[in-house]
Amino acid sequence: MKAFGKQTISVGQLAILYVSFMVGSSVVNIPNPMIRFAGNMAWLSLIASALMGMLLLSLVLYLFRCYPDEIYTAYLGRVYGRWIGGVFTVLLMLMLFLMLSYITLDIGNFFINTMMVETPVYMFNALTIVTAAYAVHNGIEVMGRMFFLLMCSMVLAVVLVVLLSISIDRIESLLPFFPEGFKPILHGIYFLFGFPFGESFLFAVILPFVRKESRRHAGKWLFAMTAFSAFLLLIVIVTTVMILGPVAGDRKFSLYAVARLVEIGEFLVGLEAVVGIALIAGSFMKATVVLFILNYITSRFFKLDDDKLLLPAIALIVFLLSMTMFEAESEFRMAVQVGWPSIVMTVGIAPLVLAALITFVKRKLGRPKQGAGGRDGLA
Amino acid sequence: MSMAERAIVLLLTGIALFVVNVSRIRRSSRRERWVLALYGVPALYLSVMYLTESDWLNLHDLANQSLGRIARLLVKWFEQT
Repeated sequence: MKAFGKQTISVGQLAILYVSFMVGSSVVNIPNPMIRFAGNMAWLSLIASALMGMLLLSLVLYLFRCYPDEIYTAYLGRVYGRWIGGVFTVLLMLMLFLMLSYITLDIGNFFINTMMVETPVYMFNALTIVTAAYAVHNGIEVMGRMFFLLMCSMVLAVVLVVLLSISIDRIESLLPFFPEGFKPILHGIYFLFGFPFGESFLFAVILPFVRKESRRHAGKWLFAMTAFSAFLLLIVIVTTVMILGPVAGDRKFSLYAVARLVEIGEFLVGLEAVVGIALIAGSFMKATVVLFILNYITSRFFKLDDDKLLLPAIALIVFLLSMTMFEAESEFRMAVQVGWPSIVMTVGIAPLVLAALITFVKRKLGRPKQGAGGRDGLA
Repeated sequence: MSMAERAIVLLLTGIALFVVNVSRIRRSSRRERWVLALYGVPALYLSVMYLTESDWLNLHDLANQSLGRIARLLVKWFEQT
C-alpha cells in the first residue's frame, strides 16, 4: 500500500470528498439550531455564510497557487517562520482532535436519540472511530472511491425526504420576513460560517493530493461543490420550516423528524430508518476526512517516515475524548453551537487569512519566497 | 456502567485499532517510538479518566475556558433584542 504522500486523487474524487465533508453531519445537525437562531430568515444566513465560505476558499486556492506542492502547515511555516508556524500547527491539531471527537459523539447521540435508544453510546463511538481509522489506513484514493456511493445515498435520502414531503409543506410558515431585525441573522451567520463553511479551509491539506494534470480545474469544482452543498442545506432548512413551522427550532435532528412525518398511502411508511442511516453516513464520511487530515498533519509535523504509525493512537485518543468530554448532551450542544464557530475562526481561519495577506504583500513587493511559483494554475 | 465494562470496551477498541499496526511499530525507528510514546501520555490520562469516571480537566475545558468565553459574550449580544 502506498504511503499517503505518494497517493493522488482526481478532481472528481476531490469534489466527492468535499461534498461529503460539507454536507455530512451538517445536514443532520444544522436545521434545528439554525431555525432557532435565525427563525424564518435562516435561509438568508445560509446564503451569506456560503458566500463567505467561497471567499475563504478563494484564499485557500490563492495560497495553493503560491505553494503548489506543500501542505497547509508547511506554508504556515514558510510565512510565519518555524516557531510561530509550529504553534499554529499544534493549535490546529488540537482543534482537529476536538472536531473529530464532536463528530464521533454526535453520531452516537443521533443513534441513542432516534433509532437505537437502549444501546450504549460507546458502541457507536467505538465503531465509528475504528471504521474511520481503517478507511484512513487504506488511504485517500480508497476514501475517494468509497465515498461516491455513500455520498449518493446521502444526497438521495435528502432529495427523497424533500420531494415526498411536498404534500405536507405549508408555504405560509416562511413568513414573516425579518420578524426580529438583523441580529438573529448575524447569529445564524456566526454559527453557519463556523460549521460547516469555515471548516472548508481544511481542504488546503487535501489539495496537494490532486493530480497535477487536473489541478487547474480544482478551483472550479470546489466553488461549484460549495454552491451545491449550500443549495442542499438550503432546501433542507426551507423544507423543515415549511413542515414543522415554529417548533422546528425545538426538534432535535429536524430532517429525521420530517422523514418520520412522510407517509405515502399505506405502503410507504417508516422511511425514517433508511433516511437516518443514509444521513448519518454523511457524518461518518466527515469523521474519516477529518481523521485523515489530522493524521497527515501530525505525521508531517513530526517528520515521520511512516504516515500511518500514529493513526491508532490518534483514533484511541479521539474515542476517549468523545467518552469523557461531556456529562450531559446539553453541554455538548452548547459547545458545538456557541463555542465551536469561534474556535474555527480563531485557530483555523485567522492564521490562513493572515498568511494569504502576507504572501500577497510579499509578492506585490516583488520579494516572493524561494519556491513560490504558481506552476499549476488553478481556475 | 461498571468499571469492568469500561475496561473491556477500552481494551477491545484498543485491540481493534492497534492490531493492524503491530508490524509498523516493530519496524519503526527509535525516534518514531518516542513520538508514539508522546501520544501515549494523553491516551493514558484519558483512559484513567474514562475508567474511573473522573471529572478531570480535558481538551473541551481548555477550549471552553479560553475561546468559549468570547463566544458566549458574542452569542449573548446576538440574543439581546
